[in-house]
Amino acid sequence: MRIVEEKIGGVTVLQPGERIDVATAPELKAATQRVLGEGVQRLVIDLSRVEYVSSVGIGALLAAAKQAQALGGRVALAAVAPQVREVCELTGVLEFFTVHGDREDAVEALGRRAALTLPEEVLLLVLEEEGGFLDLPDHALEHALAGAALLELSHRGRVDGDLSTVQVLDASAMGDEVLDPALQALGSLTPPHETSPSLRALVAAAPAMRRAALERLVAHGILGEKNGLVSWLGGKRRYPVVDGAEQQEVRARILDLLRSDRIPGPRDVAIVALADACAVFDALLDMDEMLDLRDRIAEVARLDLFALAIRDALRAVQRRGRDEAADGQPAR
Amino acid sequence: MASRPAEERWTTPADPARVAPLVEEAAVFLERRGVGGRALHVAQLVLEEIVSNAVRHGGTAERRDDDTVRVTVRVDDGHVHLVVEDEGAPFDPVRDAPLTDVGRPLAERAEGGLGLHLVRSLVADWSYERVGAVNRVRLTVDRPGRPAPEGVGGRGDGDGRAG
Repeated sequence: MRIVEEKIGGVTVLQPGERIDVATAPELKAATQRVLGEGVQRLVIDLSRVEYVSSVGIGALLAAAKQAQALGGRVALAAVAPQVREVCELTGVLEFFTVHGDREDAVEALGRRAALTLPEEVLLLVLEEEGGFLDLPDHALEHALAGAALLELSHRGRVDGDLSTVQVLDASAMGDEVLDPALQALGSLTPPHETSPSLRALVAAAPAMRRAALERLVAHGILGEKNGLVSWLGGKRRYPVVDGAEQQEVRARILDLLRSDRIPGPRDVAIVALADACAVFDALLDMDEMLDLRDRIAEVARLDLFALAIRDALRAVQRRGRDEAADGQPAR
Repeated sequence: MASRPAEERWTTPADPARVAPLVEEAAVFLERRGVGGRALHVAQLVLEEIVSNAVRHGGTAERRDDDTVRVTVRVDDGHVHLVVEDEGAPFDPVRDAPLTDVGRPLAERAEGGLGLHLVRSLVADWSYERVGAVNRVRLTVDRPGRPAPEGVGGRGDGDGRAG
């Protein structure tokens, strides 16, 4: 079987031939193994030429999904014929992929998803479909964005953190509108940093990050903008979701994760820890489900010690803010 | 019946390398007889699975080099009928098909063991019998959208798409 390989931006596309059967499935499996083994994080398997997939072919798709999950990469399927889709559904493998109408859609979705920073994903998590936000406690979103920026910078090797401290490895600007305000805020602190002061510095930068993140989501066509001018937290500025799939993907992905016993990737662990710290799940879930999932949320957050430390520091910072507000003193 | 039944037989060595070509030949025959879409896909998939099984289980201790697998494919107005026969050790896939839990998380999913699960899910009917030294598996695949012949009962189920 001829497997056509193509790189489009940072996305690799594999297009197998007409039949993925007992003879050719090993070739597809070898190709996905090689590509993912080379460090490709975003893979599209374009099934537009495929007319027949047997159980061995399904096994090859499953192997690709497993390997991608283990390596923190993502695999999407494109152009799945109805009879192939039925077999994928019956074997339960469809849920391990995002599925797109054609390769262009798949490449675009994977490329865009990878471009999203954790602050952007957190924004998408708390945005409502029709625009506006989940009903969160005061300043919860700023705290979530501060934590998201810190974790994103940690994933990108700019900061290192443990249970109580944050070490800035490189505070130079990276040319990213969302993360540069965070780097600037961290760079102005004197080392070594404890987690809480670092987060407070980032909370001060949160409005700038939020603005930049929203602008970028609008520019990417993920959010739309209308009736601008009114301030963000006033609730009158609306960012109706243009590409529902993208937003749905963040929220659905996180809720699916919590409802399963799947082992999540580091980005999803970060989102769960942040959402947990900032009362997002209380707004997203009804009380019964919140009770059911409480242990699972804690279990997921524990998978990353730095995410856990940030969750606890965010809780402490928010508690202190509330106490100070109650005492009539300015929150620092 | 609106059109005459059409039947074809193949006899092939019990050799794993022969499975894919045989299924392709059967697919060509089915297409010429007007079978397409889901019915064509399901017929190929169950045939590949059962023939693979026959080859595998035929390869047990008493295997002889001249072991063969016989496949019969017949098409009528409402169905594709498949018969797979081999001379291997007794193996009843209908009874012994593993129950695959397809709802498990990805990390716990095995890449194999999906085949007989799919056969069970996709065929309209299947049965096994041991006839002397021969395993015989009969499978029936619906051809949706075609009027079922009289006396067979209306199994036509629209476009046949599940869910």
